[in-house]
Amino acid sequence: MEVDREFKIVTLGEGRVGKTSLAMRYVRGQFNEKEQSTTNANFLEKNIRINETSIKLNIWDTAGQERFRALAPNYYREAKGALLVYDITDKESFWKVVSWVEELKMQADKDISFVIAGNKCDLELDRQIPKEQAIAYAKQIGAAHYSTSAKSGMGVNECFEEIAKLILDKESRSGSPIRSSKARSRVIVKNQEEVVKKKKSGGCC
Amino acid sequence: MKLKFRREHSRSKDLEEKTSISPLYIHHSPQCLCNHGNLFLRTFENFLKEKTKHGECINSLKWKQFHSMPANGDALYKVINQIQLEGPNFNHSRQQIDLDVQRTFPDVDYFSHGIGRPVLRRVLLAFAKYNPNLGYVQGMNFIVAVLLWHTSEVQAFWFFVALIEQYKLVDNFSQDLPGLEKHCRVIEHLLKESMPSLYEHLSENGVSMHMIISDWCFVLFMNLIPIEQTGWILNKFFKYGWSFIYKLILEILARLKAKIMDCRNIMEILSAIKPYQSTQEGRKKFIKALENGWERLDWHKLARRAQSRFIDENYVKHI
Repeated sequence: MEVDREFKIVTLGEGRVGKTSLAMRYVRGQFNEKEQSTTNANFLEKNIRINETSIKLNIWDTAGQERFRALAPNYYREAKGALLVYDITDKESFWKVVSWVEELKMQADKDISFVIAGNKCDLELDRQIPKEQAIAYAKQIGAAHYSTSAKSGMGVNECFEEIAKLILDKESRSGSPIRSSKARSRVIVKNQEEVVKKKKSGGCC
Repeated sequence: MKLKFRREHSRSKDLEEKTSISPLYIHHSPQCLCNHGNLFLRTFENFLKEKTKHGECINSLKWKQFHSMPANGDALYKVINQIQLEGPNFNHSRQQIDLDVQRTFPDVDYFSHGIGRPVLRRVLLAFAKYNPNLGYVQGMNFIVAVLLWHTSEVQAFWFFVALIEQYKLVDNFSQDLPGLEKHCRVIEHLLKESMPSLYEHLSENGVSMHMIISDWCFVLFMNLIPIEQTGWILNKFFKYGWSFIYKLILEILARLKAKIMDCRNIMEILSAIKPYQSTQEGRKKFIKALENGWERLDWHKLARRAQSRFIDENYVKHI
């Protein structure tokens, strides 16, 4: 199958906020309540279609514990997008997102696009981070904010596709080569499953 | 802390008499079936049961040849458990332990439903008190869990202390991960020597050693091996130390070489070497991918093959 563009995306955030669960929900449509803790990184792929462009997302899902932070530059190097995840029931994890943003701004690819995901929205009753505060912060750094739940699947496709869309937008503005004629990228969420099915049945080019 | 610990070392006998001991599962029986492995051991088992109080795992007996616990290990462990520690480092460790025990071998009954989980928590907490500077780091949970699978709580604790201190796991887990840096350099060198074309292919595609070996070194493969096969790998590690892990890494890469050489970019390479696995099923798939032709492979065989590889031990020693 032909792929027009390939983007590297890295997931970052404190340990146990649900980075792996989000990635697995997105890539495989599965949720495993008993997800093991990540000690290095998981490498996952997913093909999607945004407007006319077929995109392969390479998702580098990193370990969250502070001690492994020294390894992170290996993983976010050359990443075009970062999904910064916090747990809405854990204040600390939100401040970790803020510190990741600072680090990425200094160290990572300067065109990197951010999307912030407030995960575990199924636990709304235990929320510790007001949604407005998170959205205001996202706005301030020019990122999108999504409320997600890897458990229910809420907002998961949207947040990953938003990253792809942001990257495409940035590239079209800076004039990098994109095959589709006009990269006014609107994410076709509804049709995506059909597209994937079609590809699997594998008829056309 | 070490000083404090030594003080307690000498007072431990008094303390044991003075303080009532909380109901620790000091001698819960090991879960593993290592002794059921073959006919010889099965008949040997009764003898073992008589010889040792609790029918100890045959593998853990081998580890004891390299590391016996301190004479008053039982009492010391109880004392460590009773230490009341507060402070940001320890609190952080405790928090992380509470989170991680729930996701350590969640697909193994002993840890998801059995007594394994609270005992694992206690051993990890005890270690965080024993060495609060190092504290708890993710990855420790898998190693301790495997030790607990094979042996009693107290013995597992002291084996873990030996692994950290004498086998230098401390360098893997301490700030800035100096141990990992070293392992990366060693593997890089050995790979260059033994499989230059593979090394070149990896570096051309931007695959760094970190990406391949970090978790293998952090957890000594323990989260990748079906739990019932972990004893074999630990046997070799206790006997040969890090040079065995280096050989094992080389053996795995050698077996994946053809597949890796066919990959055209970093993502394909990493997916080939490190497919996502967090279930027993996934672990089985990993070893299956290493089989050559009709070969039937398990970690025992893999460990033997790995150990028979030649590596430049001098280089390993002197780096």
